[in-house]
Amino acid sequence: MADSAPLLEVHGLRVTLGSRAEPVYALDGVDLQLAAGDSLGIVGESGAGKSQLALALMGLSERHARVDGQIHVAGQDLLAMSAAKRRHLRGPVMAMIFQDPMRALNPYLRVGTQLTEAMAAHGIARGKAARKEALRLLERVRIPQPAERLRQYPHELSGGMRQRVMIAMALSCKPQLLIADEATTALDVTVQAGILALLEDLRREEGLALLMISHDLGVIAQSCAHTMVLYAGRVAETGPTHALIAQPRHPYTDGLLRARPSLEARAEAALPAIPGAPPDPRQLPEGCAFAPRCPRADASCRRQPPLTAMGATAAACHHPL
Amino acid sequence: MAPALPVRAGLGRLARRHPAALVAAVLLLLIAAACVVGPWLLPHEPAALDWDHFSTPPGVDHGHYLGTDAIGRDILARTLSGGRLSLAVGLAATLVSLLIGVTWGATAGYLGGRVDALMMRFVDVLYALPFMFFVILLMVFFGRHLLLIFVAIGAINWLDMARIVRGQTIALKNQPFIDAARVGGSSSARIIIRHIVPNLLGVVAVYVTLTIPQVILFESFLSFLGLGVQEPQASWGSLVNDGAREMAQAPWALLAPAGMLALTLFCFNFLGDGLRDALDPKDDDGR
Repeated sequence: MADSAPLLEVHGLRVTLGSRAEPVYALDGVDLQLAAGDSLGIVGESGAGKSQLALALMGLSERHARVDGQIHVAGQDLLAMSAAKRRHLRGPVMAMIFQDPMRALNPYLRVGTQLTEAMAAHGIARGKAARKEALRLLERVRIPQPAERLRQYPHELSGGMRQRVMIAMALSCKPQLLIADEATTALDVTVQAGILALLEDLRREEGLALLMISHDLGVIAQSCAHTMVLYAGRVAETGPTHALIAQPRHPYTDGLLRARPSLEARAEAALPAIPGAPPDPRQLPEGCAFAPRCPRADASCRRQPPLTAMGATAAACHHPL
Repeated sequence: MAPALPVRAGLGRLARRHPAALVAAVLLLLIAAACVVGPWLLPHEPAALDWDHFSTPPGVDHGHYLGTDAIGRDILARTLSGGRLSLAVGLAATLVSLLIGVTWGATAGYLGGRVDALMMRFVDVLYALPFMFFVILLMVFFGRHLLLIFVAIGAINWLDMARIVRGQTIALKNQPFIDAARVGGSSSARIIIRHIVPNLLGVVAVYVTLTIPQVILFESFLSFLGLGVQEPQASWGSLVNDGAREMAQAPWALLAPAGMLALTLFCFNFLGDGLRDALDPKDDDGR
């Protein structure tokens, strides 16, 4: 395997919703790369296209969505292959965990049954061997009394426990790429820290490439080496996490960072929120989509700014900080 | 799908929450057992004529506990053997409609789009068929045969099942756990069998308990019209029909089969009510 080629390579990804006459771009021209054992965080507000990105990568976009561009995973062109072939990649090559572990497990099936499901679907293991592997997986995600858990139903587990089961399910076919879509959003902060630590361990110890999606810059900053900020379906800024946080170039990234509560700030001081609301994707402003909310915007922002390298990061802005 | 069901936990819960449903279940078992075993144990053949006792009211001394009909046949024996047939028709036709209906509805609902439209239009076309006409045609062409009753009833009843199942499936298929299964690389067939169908069981179980009495009633109706079973074979429906004719002279000939029929129907309805709660593993009261 050539280590130089990244595991996941996306070029000009565009996801089109809506009708042909009135197309709505949920994602427009997103490029990204992710190497094995590396981690990338995707941040953005609701509607920025984060989840559409995850769905497009997994091949689970809505029936009426059009996905254009290129997605290469482990050297294979996903958008060029048949749906059936793509199905065989889900599990052994790429897996995903979801936001709501309460609803992402089938309430009618025992944990053990659900854990062995993907293995059976791909003919990896069945019966006793699959049970044994399921037990090992539960131990791997640090669930206490794994043997007992296998026989339980999802409703008998806590939220954090369920998310661990989801992770174990995702790992069952030994994928190289794990997509976590808001994987910790529905959990308590302490449980969230536990899950993040687990994902970090998995990345380090199993060489898993981790694509984390969150609206919470804090979560991403804590757990990802690289960060990409999405705004209205486009990349606003991308680069190494520490550089992006230490010196944001795009005013939107800056706004996100300022909008976080800090312990040093005086309690009575209002949080500096970004004014306005995310734009309606059906009526995006011409040029930079952030311009109407941006303190630095001027007439030149009517043109779409290209993503340009600025120091350690790359930002799409005519007036970077 | 069956081994995944928390049946034991379900029964305990059923007893605590729906005592009526449990009583109904026990009664149904008793009725079924009596119908299956009873005719062998009784001294009278259901079709045998007793020349000494025509239209005899119920009593103990002459051995006809529920009396006899106008030609001296034992009502109890006929009711029990008729029950065999009615229950068999009910179960078999429901099973047919269950198998076709669930498969059809779940497939159409899960695949959606054009496949769904085609499959459901087919259902609509069958719906439009006048059912009595269909049954009479079958009888004319193939003669009166028990199997035909199963086929005719099953062929019509699965339509409702398919519609209900399709609706439920459409609601289910957008659940995150279906996405999670797809992410694991499960095929559509696998998802339908492993994830959709078990989640339908609650609804389907309730509908089945409503369908069985409906089918039994329908068979009774056909028999009442003379399209059902043939003499000397009896079903509850044909017995009610016979009994109704001599109601004024021998009301017991009507009351026995009608009573059994009504009791069975009540039991199924109570059972269906309780089953829906019992089959839901999420819905647990402090265990």
